Amino acid sequence: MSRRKWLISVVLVVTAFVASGCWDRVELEDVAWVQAIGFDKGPVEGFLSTTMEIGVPRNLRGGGGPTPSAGPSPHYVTITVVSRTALEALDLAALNLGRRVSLVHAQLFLFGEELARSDLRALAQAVDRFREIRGNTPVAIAHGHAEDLLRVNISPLEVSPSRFLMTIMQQHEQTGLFEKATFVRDFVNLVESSSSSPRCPVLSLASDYKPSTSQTGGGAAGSTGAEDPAESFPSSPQVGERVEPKVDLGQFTPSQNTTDLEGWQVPIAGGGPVVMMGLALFQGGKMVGTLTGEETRTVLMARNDFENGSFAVPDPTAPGKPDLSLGVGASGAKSKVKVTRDGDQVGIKVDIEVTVTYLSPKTQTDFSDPRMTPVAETAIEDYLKSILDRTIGKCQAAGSDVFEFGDRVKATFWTWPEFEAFAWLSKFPTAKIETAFHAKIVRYGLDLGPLVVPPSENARRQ
Amino acid sequence: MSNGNRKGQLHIPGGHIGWIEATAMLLIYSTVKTFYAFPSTISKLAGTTAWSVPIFSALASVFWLWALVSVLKAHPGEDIIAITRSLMGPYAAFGFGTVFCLINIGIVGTAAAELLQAIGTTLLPTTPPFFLVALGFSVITYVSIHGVEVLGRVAAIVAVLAVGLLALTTILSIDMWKPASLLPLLGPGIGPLLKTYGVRQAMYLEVLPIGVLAPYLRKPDDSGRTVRWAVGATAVYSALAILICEVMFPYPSLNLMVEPLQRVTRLIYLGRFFQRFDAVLSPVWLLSAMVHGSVGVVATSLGATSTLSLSSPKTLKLIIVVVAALMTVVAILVPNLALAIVADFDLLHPYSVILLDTWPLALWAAGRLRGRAGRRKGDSPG
Repeated sequence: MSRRKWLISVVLVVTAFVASGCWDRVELEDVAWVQAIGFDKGPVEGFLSTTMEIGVPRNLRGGGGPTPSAGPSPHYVTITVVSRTALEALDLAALNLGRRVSLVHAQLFLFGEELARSDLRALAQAVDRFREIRGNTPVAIAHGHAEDLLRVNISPLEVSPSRFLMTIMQQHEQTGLFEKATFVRDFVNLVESSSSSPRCPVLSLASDYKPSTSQTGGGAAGSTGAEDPAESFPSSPQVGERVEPKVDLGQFTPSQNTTDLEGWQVPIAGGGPVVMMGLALFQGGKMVGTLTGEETRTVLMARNDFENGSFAVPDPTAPGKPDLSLGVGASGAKSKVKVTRDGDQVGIKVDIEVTVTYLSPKTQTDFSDPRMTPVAETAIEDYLKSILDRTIGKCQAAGSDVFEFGDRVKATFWTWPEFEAFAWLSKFPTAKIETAFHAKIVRYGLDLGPLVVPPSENARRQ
Repeated sequence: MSNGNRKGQLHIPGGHIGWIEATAMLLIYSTVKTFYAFPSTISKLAGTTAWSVPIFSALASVFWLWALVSVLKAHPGEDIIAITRSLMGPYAAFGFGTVFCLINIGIVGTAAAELLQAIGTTLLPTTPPFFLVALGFSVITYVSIHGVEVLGRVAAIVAVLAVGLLALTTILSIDMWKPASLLPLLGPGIGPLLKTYGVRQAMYLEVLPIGVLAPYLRKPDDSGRTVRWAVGATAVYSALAILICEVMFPYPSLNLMVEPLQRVTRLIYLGRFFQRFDAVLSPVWLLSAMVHGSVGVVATSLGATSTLSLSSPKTLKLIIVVVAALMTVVAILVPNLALAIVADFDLLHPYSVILLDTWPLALWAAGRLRGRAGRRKGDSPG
């Protein structure tokens, strides 16, 4: 081999070692991989409580489970550190864990409600700029404290917290009861936006969640390593235990359903300890309110982001009977938004077309009769319109344009300076917004008409 | 046509390229900035209409590009510095040649500084910057020394990869686009837009090296075709790259980003396997950067040899090493990203418009005057 080829070979070999960073390598086993990170207000003004949920890979392997020698081992540990910034929290956590803390595989950024209501602008920017963060990491708001959520954040069906976070996010497509994951990058874009307001899905502790004795007594089980925190939550309630609703369901109108609640209010017993439902409304970096699951659906419909969901619409033929309803399903919604502007006054017309199928009508009226179709369609339209109108009112009162109407308003201007001077978000609360729904029933299900009531039963009733 | 025996021209081993290779070289040289802060810089100037700048600036560049091509076609086998010497004299040639070399050193040096910062921020945060620069310029020098033909072939391959990467990024990101980001339609207003279109003709400054590459084209007449394709492809490529960034990061969010295209790729998620799409971007980005540097080194070296009327291949190789070293120094001396962006987008490119809009047209005018004078001389009796 010529001297030149030797030289090139040596350079390439040396380069291969150097370029791969062998002198400052970090072994996988030397890193603590954060699966979710939460932020709350610190105990003192100006401080931040950062909670990290860190996977324990050796226990995730093969479904985890107790190890014979060491007793039951958690699939993850949580650590909460108080510091002025999140960056310092990572350093301080490393001192405690004995590993470098990495956010490269973080699956969720969770902000506590109190912190979100103060202002997230600076923190969101700090998160977005950190080089380990990927812009497609979902962001959510914790009803209450993020640290509480992360200490119990596990589903009985999943081994890994990150897997649970991924699967729970997918439920948006099936239910529409929360917004598709808002990503760090989207959130930051919206905080800076002059046309729309930021929003996030809301994650809350289930209404039946009670801290276990080990948690109330000696701190969070997850962080002690003595017990899996998920196991401290009874996934299957005891015999005789009843659901204790946190809201007075007796006060509900016949058209109101439990999907029209926030996650922490949903009457539930057993299953997982957390619920993801509803939408947090923001004005700039400040959280200013929340929407229920049903309200979130209408926001998504108005934005053409609604995918699937089922509704229980009050039976129009039996107005006084809340036990009767039309169980319908909607797949997708086409929204047309028209904006007119006269000086400072903005008029918005929202027309939404929904294609509906009968899923499980709970009624005594034969809605498969074609003559009843317009009646059912009107009932569905009225039901959805009433929720959308209420939601728009709520958002206008909060000054949060989560419908992205501002994007349409932008189209009425030729230049950006004109649009910026108009200050749409300050005009949104006074905009005149008209809504209309057009429901179209396309599938009637597998049966025609309701169950037959025998003449003898009718006679007995009379 | 032989390049070897002309005064002021060098023989580079295998020194002939077709118009496709030349187009690829100019395309990479012109578009590599879309990997850096270029989309953000244009967004700051043109707001929601940033995507239109490459297209309308290309239209605004038509005059000087036409003049450049006309001059090159009128003097086959000569580079723009030699043409300047024959039309305007040795002092003008020396002045133009010096400016040409300095501009190219600035282009590559600041781009390398930006690349260095980007790599140091996201890809190899713990690797010493000097090592990265030295490694990069070693590769660039190695490729450059092998001559125009080798570089042209490498550029053609990398151009296909770069175009493919952009096409793939477009397709994979399309479901995240927010088309309303392109509204209002006139962005900052007609006045500022026209000014931007005019000043940002300078984004085609990187086409100027055709002036020294033209003698190496297999067919001398291909310089026109090369410029047309290079400018057209650069306009479409850059417009698409800016458009993707705009609809992913609506104005004014885009203004703050240093490498928006890289951020776009970091947002693409196609299941667990394909979630690291930036791993596809990075090799193409680095390859493009190497070709960009090599084109800059070759163009500067050819410009320097022509300016100094040096004709030995060994001298050219020496100059290539010196030019690469100078560019390395520029890359290291620019201490941070903000300064690199300021140097490139606020000084180097905008002020180059003066050169672009005057020199080719001046050469063309001088050629016409010389031609007329020659004809009159020929017509005169005796």
